Amino acid sequence: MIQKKICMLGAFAVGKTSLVARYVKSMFSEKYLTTVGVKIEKKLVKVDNQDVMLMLWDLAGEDEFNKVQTSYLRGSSGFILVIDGTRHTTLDVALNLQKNLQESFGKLPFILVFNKADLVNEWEIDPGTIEMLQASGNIVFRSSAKTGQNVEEVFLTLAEMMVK
Amino acid sequence: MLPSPVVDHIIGMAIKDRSPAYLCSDKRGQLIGWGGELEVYGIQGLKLKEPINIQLPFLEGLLPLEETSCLLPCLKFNEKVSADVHIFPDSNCDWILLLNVTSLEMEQILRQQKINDLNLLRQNQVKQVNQLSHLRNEAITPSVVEIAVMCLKLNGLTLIESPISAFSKFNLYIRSITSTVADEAGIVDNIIGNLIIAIFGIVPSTSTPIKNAVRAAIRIFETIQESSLRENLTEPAIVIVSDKNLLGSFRFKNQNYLSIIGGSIERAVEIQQRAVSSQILVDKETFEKLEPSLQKHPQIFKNS
Repeated sequence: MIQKKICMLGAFAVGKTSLVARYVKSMFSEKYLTTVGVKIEKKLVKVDNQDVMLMLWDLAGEDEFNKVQTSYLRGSSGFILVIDGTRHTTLDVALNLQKNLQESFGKLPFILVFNKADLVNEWEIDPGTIEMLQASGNIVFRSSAKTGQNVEEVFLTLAEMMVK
Repeated sequence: MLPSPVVDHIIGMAIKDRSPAYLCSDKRGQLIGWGGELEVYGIQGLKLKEPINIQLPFLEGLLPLEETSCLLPCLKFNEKVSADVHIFPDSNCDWILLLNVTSLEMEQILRQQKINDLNLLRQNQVKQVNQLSHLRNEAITPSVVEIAVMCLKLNGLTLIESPISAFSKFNLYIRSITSTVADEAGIVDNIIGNLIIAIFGIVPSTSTPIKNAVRAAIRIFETIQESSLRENLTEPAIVIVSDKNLLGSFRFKNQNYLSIIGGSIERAVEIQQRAVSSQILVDKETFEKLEPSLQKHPQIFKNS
């Protein structure tokens, strides 16, 4: 069995913890509870008939004063950058993080996840922006931790990208 | 050199209630020793000479350390215990030190939750005000309010060769500016060509409109400095004017629009012609209202 470390990154309150909870425990809570520091969850998946233990590092979200500790990111094999579709500013945070990650760790696999797809009527991010990001080669998913939409797919896709 | 009772006291304080525990790994990543209060962190059943990252998955990818030490602050070991994890190299092994920070984490969670809740609330208010400005059926009760107008001009867009690149850059700028303005309780009211007009004093805030506007202007320059936005473009010129104005709404083509009537916007646009790139030009009366520390800010200038 191989182990792969994945870091969940993004602005605060975008749904990083909820995505991990949905994926690992099939749970969802409407109540927003902030993450301080880092929580690690595990999930065993199969990629090409090979067992892969995903170590999911759920990091505290970024805000004006709290930036991601780079020490948490050491040894990562991939990243999930989470964006809240209802808050445009969270896309800027994610793109900025991605830029910094590439500068510090080189080209590691990553996925852009536009979360809160269940609130699509309240989205500030327009489909054109998402299509533009896809067109420039990014792997993009629209997900909902609440309904489970695309949650499995996000983690499995990244697992495949990391192993291959 | 400190006397040993003092050193002992400092060490005692540093580890009091911190449940110190350690692990040691050789340079091949095998566990070669451990001790201290590991049971506090739920660590048990360790096996000598077995890979440490398999026994303790949080160390995956971290060992062996190459040169520098590493700190993982506030790592949650289970629902009840969190620790600062210090990893530091020795000549032929790496040490992993765990120090309990659960009580500190609890305090930090309470603070951070409050901060995040307030930030979400404010972002929500900004969204509501933005929606308010385009309400179709309801008008705002007119009132006199102190507002600050920030007028920002982007220069150099026409120098970019490709029109697609120019507009893509313009979009990036507007997005960045809009979010910074929103962070300081302002709203982008209008965009005319390469002129962006933001208003402060409509969204509720604990600070004054002028302070929010100046803070936003300073942060816009900081963001531009840190990001790729500055490539190919000269920095914007920003003008700030603050005064009492009439706030209300007008109806046009079956929609109500937020409107500010008074001299501030006109004055800001007029002063903008004299503004220089990288400067925050503040009109004379507004400048006198600024705190002395802001008056001395290297990017802030008085329009005389």
